[in-house]
Amino acid sequence: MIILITGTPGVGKTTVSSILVEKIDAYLVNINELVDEKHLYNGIDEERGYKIVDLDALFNEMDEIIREVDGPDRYVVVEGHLSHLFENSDIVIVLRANPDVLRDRMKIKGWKAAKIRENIEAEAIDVCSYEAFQIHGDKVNEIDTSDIPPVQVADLIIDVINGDKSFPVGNVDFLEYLK
Amino acid sequence: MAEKEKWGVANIYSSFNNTIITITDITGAETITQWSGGKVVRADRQESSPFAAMEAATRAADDVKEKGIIGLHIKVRAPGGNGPRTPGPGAQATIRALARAGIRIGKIEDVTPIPHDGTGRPGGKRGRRV
Ligand SMILES: Nc1ncnc2c1ncn2[C@@H]1O[C@H](COP(=O)(O)OP(=O)(O)O)[C@@H](O)[C@H]1O
Ligand SMILES: [Mg+2]
Repeated sequence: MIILITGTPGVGKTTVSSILVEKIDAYLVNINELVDEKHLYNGIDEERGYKIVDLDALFNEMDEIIREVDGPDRYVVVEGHLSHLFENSDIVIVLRANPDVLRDRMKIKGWKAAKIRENIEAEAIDVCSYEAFQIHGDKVNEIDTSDIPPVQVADLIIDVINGDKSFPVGNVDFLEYLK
Repeated sequence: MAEKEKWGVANIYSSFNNTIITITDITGAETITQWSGGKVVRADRQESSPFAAMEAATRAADDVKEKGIIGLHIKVRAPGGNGPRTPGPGAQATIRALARAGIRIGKIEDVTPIPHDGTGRPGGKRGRRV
């Protein structure tokens, strides 16, 4: 079973995924680490300074990993803000956070103001959820993590995996923040 | 004649649930008016519809015409759409409604924010033409 965990940078994907994989004994793929390790990028974005991910190369790597480790009794968790662009999934989780909360979580990372602003705007207009929904439809769940600790977020994801809860796209709305 | 023509900037923010249109003067410093789909259509499930976005745009057009503005440059922030990184239905409906209300449409830019940390996706140039 393939679980993609996406969301705007700073929302808590890495923190929550590390807890989740312990709880369900899953194989973890961290996209940013994979990109670094295998040099899956084509250059640097001049304006923003990020590594421009070679998506085809990334998805080939992911196919290969999944072919090796996925099985009927095996969970594979793929986390990263580009994970939802991979088309093969059973469940897609978009972690969300209120822009004010997200700003605090991003500040911990020491990012520049312009980087924080652009990511916050992306969160407010649902960039990751919208794209995830276009590719994965009703497999996508959006979880608002603004007021709950990472362990509880992991438990909610387990509820989704078990079919006990669902959080359809559209249940989170932060557009008011831009007013 | 031409120097008397006043232009503004329409910032369109379109999300899964709603569309907001914020119109500023040409420098971006002063907000002239702001409307959202949610403000014109009260029913929650309607606010994301192109109809709501068009209504918001029509109200915004009335406000700017009153201020003597004849044309708007457009900055669109909208995920989704027909292909990767094209504006969603709310954004397209908004631009069409502004034009239909008699506003001249100038430069249209897609300035949709790109999520990024140490990595990001290809094609991350601002100011792409829509
Ligand atoms: N649910 C949460 N509540 C409070 N803080 C959180 C939560 N999830 C993550 N954080 C904190 O936010 C910061 C960013 O988390 P991280 O997992 O690195 O995000 P991402 O991998 O999505 O970029 C970290 O300092 C982390 O401890
Ligand atoms: Mg991370």
